Amino acid sequence: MKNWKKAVALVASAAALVSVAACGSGSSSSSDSGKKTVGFVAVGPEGGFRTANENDIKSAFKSAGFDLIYSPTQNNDQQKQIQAFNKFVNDEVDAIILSSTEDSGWDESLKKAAEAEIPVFTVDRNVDVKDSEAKKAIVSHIGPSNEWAGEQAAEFVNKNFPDGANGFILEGPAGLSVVKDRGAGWDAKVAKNVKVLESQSANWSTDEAKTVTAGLLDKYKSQNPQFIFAQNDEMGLGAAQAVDAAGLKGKVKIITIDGTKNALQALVDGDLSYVIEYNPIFGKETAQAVKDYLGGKDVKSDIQIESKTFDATSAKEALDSNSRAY
Amino acid sequence: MADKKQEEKTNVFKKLLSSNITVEVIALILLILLCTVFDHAFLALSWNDNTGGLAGPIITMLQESARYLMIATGMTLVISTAGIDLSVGSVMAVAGAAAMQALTGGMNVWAAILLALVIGLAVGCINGALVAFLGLQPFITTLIMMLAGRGLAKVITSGENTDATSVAGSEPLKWMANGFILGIPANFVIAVVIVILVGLLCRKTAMGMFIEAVGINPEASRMTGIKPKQILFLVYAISGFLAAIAGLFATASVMRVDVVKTGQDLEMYAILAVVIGGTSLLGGKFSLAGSAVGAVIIAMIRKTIITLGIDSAATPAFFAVVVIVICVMQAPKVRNLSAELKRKRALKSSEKAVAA
Repeated sequence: MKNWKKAVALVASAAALVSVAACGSGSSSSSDSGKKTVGFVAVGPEGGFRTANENDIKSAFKSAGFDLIYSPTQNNDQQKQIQAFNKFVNDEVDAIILSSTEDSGWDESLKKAAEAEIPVFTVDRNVDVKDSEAKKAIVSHIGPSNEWAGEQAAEFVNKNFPDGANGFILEGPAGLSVVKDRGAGWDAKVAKNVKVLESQSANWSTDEAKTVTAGLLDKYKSQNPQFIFAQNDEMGLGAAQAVDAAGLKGKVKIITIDGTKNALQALVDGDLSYVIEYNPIFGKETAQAVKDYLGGKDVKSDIQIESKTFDATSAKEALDSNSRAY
Repeated sequence: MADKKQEEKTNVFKKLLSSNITVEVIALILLILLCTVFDHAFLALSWNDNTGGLAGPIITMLQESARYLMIATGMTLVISTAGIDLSVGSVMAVAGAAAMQALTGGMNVWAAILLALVIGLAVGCINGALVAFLGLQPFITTLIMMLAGRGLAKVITSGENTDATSVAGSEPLKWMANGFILGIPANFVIAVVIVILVGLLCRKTAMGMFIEAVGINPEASRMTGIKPKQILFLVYAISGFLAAIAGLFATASVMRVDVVKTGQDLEMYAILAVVIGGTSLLGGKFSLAGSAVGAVIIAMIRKTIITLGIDSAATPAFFAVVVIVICVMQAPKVRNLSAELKRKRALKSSEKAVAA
């Protein structure tokens, strides 16, 4: 009977796609009950991490006594985000939370926010602002650090292969700030005797990572690759399957970043060796920062959210306790 | 007698030279040579007890080419009716999502495969009905299906990347993508068999001729008694069905659907394979064998990128350059270049003779 539901959902989705254009309306409530209004320019449901992150922010602001207006975009469309942002400025909300899809292109909007004296808090992805007027609008950035995650991966390899090792890096699509930061973290900490034979992009995709890894394992068979650093879980899971097919399971250590349930399960099963979390749960910290700032207190300009690292035992504990939101 | 034989030989040789497939095969061999120069073990094959089949760079390349073979075959038929099917990549995602979701929902593996194929066929039929019976433009119709399909895949999995790795009893599907038949990748064998079946359907019956007739002039073909609407409907339906098979190959290889990435950009690869294969985008004559070799070339280019270790930022450019070079090699002007030179030389020598 589940299938019937699915069929209905299919039809509904087709209808929804047609009527997508008619979204994004609904006038926002001004602060009538003395509650502070906060606008949240969001990315929208995009998969495990994003959904957990945005739901957490929504519930945290609700419990902190704010009136949060949630405005997601579709398909990573920055234009929609800019429109939502400008609308919040025109409505004179008390603060804006910005989870941007792109790191550039925000100067004009931020300038308007600065003129209207609306504080902006960037979450998760940082924005790159050139204009000094626009910079004033941003009070603080809140989120986990991609560089830190890359550093952890390098340190794991350093620790496990004190005598040096060969391996590969699977990157995300070229040009993204996440890719650059995770790579920079790795470069900063990796020991001299650890040799990266090749870095290839597998576009965050499991399927592509499998193909790429199979190719790399063939190419560098003679150099005995011992580790693979996949910049996200999806690619790590694909790499694990290629390693398994080549009969090297357990001989090649695979390190991934993100910490989704599937990756933790793979860690318990021995397919992966180390998972570095990119913690999406920081609604409380964000709400606190906004509250402090509006209450006249000083707020740090960069609030780094702590993430965990997992090996097989701690992954099992985390899965058994069922405490993971994603 | 000897002269005649010689003449026949040169004729065969000329025919071979002028064939598109020859150029394609040469391009494929050149790519393989390039890889072998960079990696001397590129052609090496070994037996992998773990998977029960041959292993080596060429084998993984063939494994990847299976999905391109499927969508390129469907695309060839569609393009030869002067249409285009941009939705194949999305259909792959939808079919893969349906299969993975059904498996995690506890459905029998064969039922899940069937479900995926039926969904692919259904999407193809919708495309076909809109193009053939309502007369919508193929480009717009399938473009909309390409956008809607991604959304559909997301709805099926509720936006997650469904993982069916640990579902028990899914071995047949896993084998389809990762298994081996007599040491050769099963998905490649399946794909080749399907291409041959489609080829027989087209060439042993009048189907192929009907398709070409519709592509050249639908009105004229109608007057000769062909039913262009039915033919159009059929080619889009076949394309959707084959795309569903490609979707199963792509998702079953990792037993995981990635609603955003599965089949992404593959409609372009399919079109490239068809064009490299010598089928004109304007419709008419088509070559399934050409498209099939084109599909293998696409997989080979991707393999070359990994083997050569081309920087990830430069891979799209590399891909484009190789495709353009192959297209230039096939251009009639370039292909006739040697004949042209010979003719000129002959002309010159005869002129000299006259002058003397």
